[in-house]
Amino acid sequence: MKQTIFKYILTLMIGLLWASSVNAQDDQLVVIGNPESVPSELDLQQLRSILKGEKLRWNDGSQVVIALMKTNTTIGNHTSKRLYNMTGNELNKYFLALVFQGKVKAPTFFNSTDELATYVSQTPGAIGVLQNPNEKVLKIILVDGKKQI
Amino acid sequence: MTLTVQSKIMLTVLSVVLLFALFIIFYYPARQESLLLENYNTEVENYANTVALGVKIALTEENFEGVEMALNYVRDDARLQFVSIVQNDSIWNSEHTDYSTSPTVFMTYPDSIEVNPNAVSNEDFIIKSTDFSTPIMSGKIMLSFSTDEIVKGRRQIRTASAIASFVVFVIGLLIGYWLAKNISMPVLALRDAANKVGMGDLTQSVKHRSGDEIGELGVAFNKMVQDLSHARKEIDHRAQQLTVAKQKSDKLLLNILPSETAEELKITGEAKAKYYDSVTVLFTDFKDFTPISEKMSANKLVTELHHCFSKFDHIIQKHNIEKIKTIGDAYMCVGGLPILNQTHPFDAVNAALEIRDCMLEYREAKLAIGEIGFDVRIGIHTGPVVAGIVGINKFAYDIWGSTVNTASRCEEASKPNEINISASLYEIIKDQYDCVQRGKIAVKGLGEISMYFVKGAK
Repeated sequence: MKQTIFKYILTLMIGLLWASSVNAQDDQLVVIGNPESVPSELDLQQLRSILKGEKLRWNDGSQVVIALMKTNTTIGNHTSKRLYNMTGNELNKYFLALVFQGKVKAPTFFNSTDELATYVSQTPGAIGVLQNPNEKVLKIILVDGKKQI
Repeated sequence: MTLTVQSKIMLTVLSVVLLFALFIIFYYPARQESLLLENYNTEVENYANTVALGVKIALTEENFEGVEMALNYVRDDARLQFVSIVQNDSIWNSEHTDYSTSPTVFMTYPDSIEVNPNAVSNEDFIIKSTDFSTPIMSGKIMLSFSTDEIVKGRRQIRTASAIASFVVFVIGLLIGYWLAKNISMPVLALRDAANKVGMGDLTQSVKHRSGDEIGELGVAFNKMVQDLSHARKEIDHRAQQLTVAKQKSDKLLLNILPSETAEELKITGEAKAKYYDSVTVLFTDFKDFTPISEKMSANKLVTELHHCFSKFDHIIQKHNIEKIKTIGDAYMCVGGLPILNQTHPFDAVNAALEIRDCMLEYREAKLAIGEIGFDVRIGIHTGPVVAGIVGINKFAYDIWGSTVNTASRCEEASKPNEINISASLYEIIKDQYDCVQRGKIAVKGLGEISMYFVKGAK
């Protein structure tokens, strides 16, 4: 009986671990950038600074353009939580405050990943956050040497 | 006090201009300032509405382009004092059953200004608020603009109004002066000309340059003066004709009547008969006139009579004797009327002597050419008569009384080329004339009366 219970518990834990593993794999974010101006590699701190609007221009002088999925999408929600440590509403209020001050150009929010990918690929200086992008078409930005964060 | 036309026009124009200038300087600026303030409020309100809409879209659609554009537009406006997002915070009670809202400033541009979320407009600022409501945040956009522009605008409007008012006043003044001059000058010229015309100067005329009513008045005035001038010339001509006619009629009248009687007749329309207690009546007659006249043609006879009587007329006029009438070949005149005098007996005798001498010369001249000359008989008597005019047609001045009969009888009792006078006349003139007593001679109707021939002056 005890063995049976242990087996069930073990099976349950393995299942949970797998599920967790699969879920974590779904939450992985990929940073893409326009081939022009955007560096191929950033550390996480630099990335957060750029996404928060603290860095306005790339090293070549071109303007930083941020592209994000809307916060009511899964990717957008994960992006705000993991990269901004904010809820979607907090993120919007954060950028509203910055825009109000005229300190930064607010990110452009998209409903679909395709639209975001197209926008980034066609906008010089654009950087965006996606999941599972088409690596053959888009420039993947390594963060801390990794494709996914 | 009587105002001139010029003053009245000037006062009228100035009143209108003054009213207009006051309108420009007071009402117009007030109205413009009100419009300016209204437009300014509307403009600020539109800004607030636009920003609020942008915020709403940004927070609901996550599209910040609208709010960025609106804010850029607002921030670029130099009049901006601040723009704020005011958030309504919910404050729950201790039991968490009810809540109240408290406005707090979420963000302000520029962030150096501390904004009171309940601030309202004052003289220095216009504050406009527009509410917005989203699931994330509810509140209002507060927008504050400086009123410096309005103050500046007011100052410009007042300055422009003052300048415009002054210009309008000056232009009105000039127009008023021009109008007054153009209306009053012709009127004054017309008045002066009319005064001169009134004093009889019909050579006056006024210049009428304008085609308006005053110009027409000038034309009418000139025509009136011209017509008056023509009328006066016509009247003068007629008066001259009348004067000539009057002179003719007067002359004619004086031929018929004594001048004093004629004057009385002209003035009163009648001549009253007058009694004269002493006049001298003279009669002449031609001896054998009827047989002689039968041997003459009518024209010749009249010519001879006219010749003789014309000479008599001249003679008696010279001696202040009044001719009364001729009856056939008889000639009757009287001295001492109508103006009384004391010399009429002598005047009549002198005239008779001259008539006699004149007729003697006439007779000799006629005989010299083989023609027959008249012999004149003259009779004179002095006494009272009544003189006057009778009848209404063909006036004739005549005398009545026994004196006339006596004089006539003296003439009848006279001899050719002799002057036969009565005793009463003789008594008057005997000291100055040579007379021959004839004794008493019987005459028709008067019996025997003493008579004398006057031969000449002593």
